Amino acid sequence: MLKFVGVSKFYDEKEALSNISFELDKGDFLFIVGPSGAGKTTILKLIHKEIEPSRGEIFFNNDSLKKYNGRVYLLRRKISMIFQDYKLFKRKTVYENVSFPLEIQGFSPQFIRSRVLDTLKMVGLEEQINKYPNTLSGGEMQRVSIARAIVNNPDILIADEPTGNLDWKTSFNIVDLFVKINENGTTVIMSTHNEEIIKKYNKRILYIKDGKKLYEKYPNIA
Amino acid sequence: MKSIQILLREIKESFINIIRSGFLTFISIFVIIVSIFSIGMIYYFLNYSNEVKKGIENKIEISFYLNKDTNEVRIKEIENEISNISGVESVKYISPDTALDELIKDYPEYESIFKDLEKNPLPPTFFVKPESVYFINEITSKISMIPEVSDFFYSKDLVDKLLFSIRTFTFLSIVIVSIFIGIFIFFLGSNITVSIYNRREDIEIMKLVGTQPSFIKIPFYIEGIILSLIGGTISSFLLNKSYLEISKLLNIILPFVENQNLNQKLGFNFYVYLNLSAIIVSLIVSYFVLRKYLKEIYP
Repeated sequence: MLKFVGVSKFYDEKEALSNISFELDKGDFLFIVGPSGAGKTTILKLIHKEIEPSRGEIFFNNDSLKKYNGRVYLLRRKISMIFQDYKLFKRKTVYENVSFPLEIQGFSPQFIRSRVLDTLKMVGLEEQINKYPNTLSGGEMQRVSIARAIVNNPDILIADEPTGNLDWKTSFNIVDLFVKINENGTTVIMSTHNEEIIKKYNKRILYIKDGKKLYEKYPNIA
Repeated sequence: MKSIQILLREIKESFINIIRSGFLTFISIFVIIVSIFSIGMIYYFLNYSNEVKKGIENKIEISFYLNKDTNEVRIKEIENEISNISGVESVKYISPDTALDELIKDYPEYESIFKDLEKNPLPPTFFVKPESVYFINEITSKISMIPEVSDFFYSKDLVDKLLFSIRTFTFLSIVIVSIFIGIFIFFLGSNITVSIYNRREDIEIMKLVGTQPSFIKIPFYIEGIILSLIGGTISSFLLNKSYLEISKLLNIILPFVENQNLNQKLGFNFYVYLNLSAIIVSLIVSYFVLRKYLKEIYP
C-alpha cells in the first residue's frame, strides 16, 4: 500500500532524512519512533505530500506520489493526517469541523449527517456536536481532529505526535482509538517519542535517529 | 448532483464570510455605491453636455458667399459639389433677390433704403449645415477651394468655445471615471486581500484536509459578486431617483436644452448593464488578487 524506496530529504545543505526504505500493507499499524529532530515529521510530511523527496521515490497503491502533482487534494482524501496542534477550524463547531471533508466532496446533507454522527459517536463526542473548539479540552480537540480525519474513510491515517500535548491517560485513550480505527481496516502511521505508548502497544516500530533508519521491529505474535 | 452540493456549500461559505467580515463588508459596499453612483452621475452630465452640443449644432450654419457674376448653371454645380462633401448635413441656396427680400422682411423700417439701391449688393449665398461642429474646419477648407467662393462666415468664437468646453469636459469625465474605477478596484482588491489574510489559517487547514483549490477560490468570487450586486442595486436606486430630480432641476434652469429624463431614455437595461459591469470588474479583480495571494498558500 505504501512504499518508501531510498528516500532522502535535504533542507538546503542539511540532510534531514537519509536513504529511508520501508513498506506497509493495508491494515498495518506503524509507530515511527525517535528523538526530537530525528526526521519523524519529515517522513509524515513526505507521505502527505507537503514536501517532496530530494532523492528516492514514494509509492501509494503502486503509484508514485508524483502522480498527484497538481492534484494533491485527491491524495489527501485517501491519506488523512492528524496534527499535534489539532488544526481545527476555530469558527466552526465540532459538527462543522468533522463534516467539512465530506462537504468539499459534494456528498448529500443526509449522508453527511449520518456519517458525521456515527464518527462522532465512535470517538465519544456525540454530546459535543454544537460546541466550538475553544470550549473543548486538549483530548476532546484531538478526538475532533481524529473524527475529521477518518470521516471520509481514508486508506491511511497518519498522526504526527498526536499525544504530544496530552496527559498520559488521555494519550492512551487516543491511541486506543487509533487501534480501534486500525481494526476497522485503516492503515495507521503514528509518530511518537513516548516510550510508554510504544511499550504498551505491541505494534510495528520504525526507529529513526538523525534522519537514518536505525532499526525496524515487528510486533511479537503471541 | 455532487457539483450542485459543492456550489451550494460554496455559496453558504461566501455568505458566512461576508457576515464575519462585518466592517470590511460595510466599507466595501459603501465604496462600490460611491463609485458606481459617481460614474452614473458623470455619465448623466456627459449625456447632458451632448444634448447641449446638439442644441447648439442645430443652430450653427456656415454662410458661403459666391462671386456676384457666378451663373445659374455653375451655382447648381457648386451646390452639388457642396452636398457631396462629407460632414455636410444640408445645403440651402439663397439668391441675391431672395436674400434682399428677406432683409427687407427682417428690417421693414429700412425698406425704402433697400428699394432705392440701384444694384442688389448681396452675393449669391449657400447656407451649409454641418452634421457636427467637428466637421466645420474640414467643410470650410474644402468649400473655400472652390474658385467662385469669395468668403464665408460662421460664429467661430462660439464654435471654438463649445468644442473646447466639450473636449475639456469629456477629458475630465474620463479622468474622474478612471479614478473611481481605480478606487473601486483598489477597495475590492484590498477587501479580498484582507479576507485571504484573515482566512489564511483556515485556508491552510483546508489545504491539509484535501480541499480542491476551486473550493477555496470560488467563495471569494461569489463574495465579489454579492458585494457588487448589493452596492450596484443600491447605487442604481439612488441614480434612478437622482436622474429624475436633476432632470427636473435642469429643465427649470436651462429650459432651452432638450433634456430628456435619462431613466426614460436608457430604460431598465442601463441598470442591468451597470450591475453587470460591476460584477465583471469584481470577477477580474478577484481573479488577479487570488492568483497573486493563493499561489503562495496553494501552489
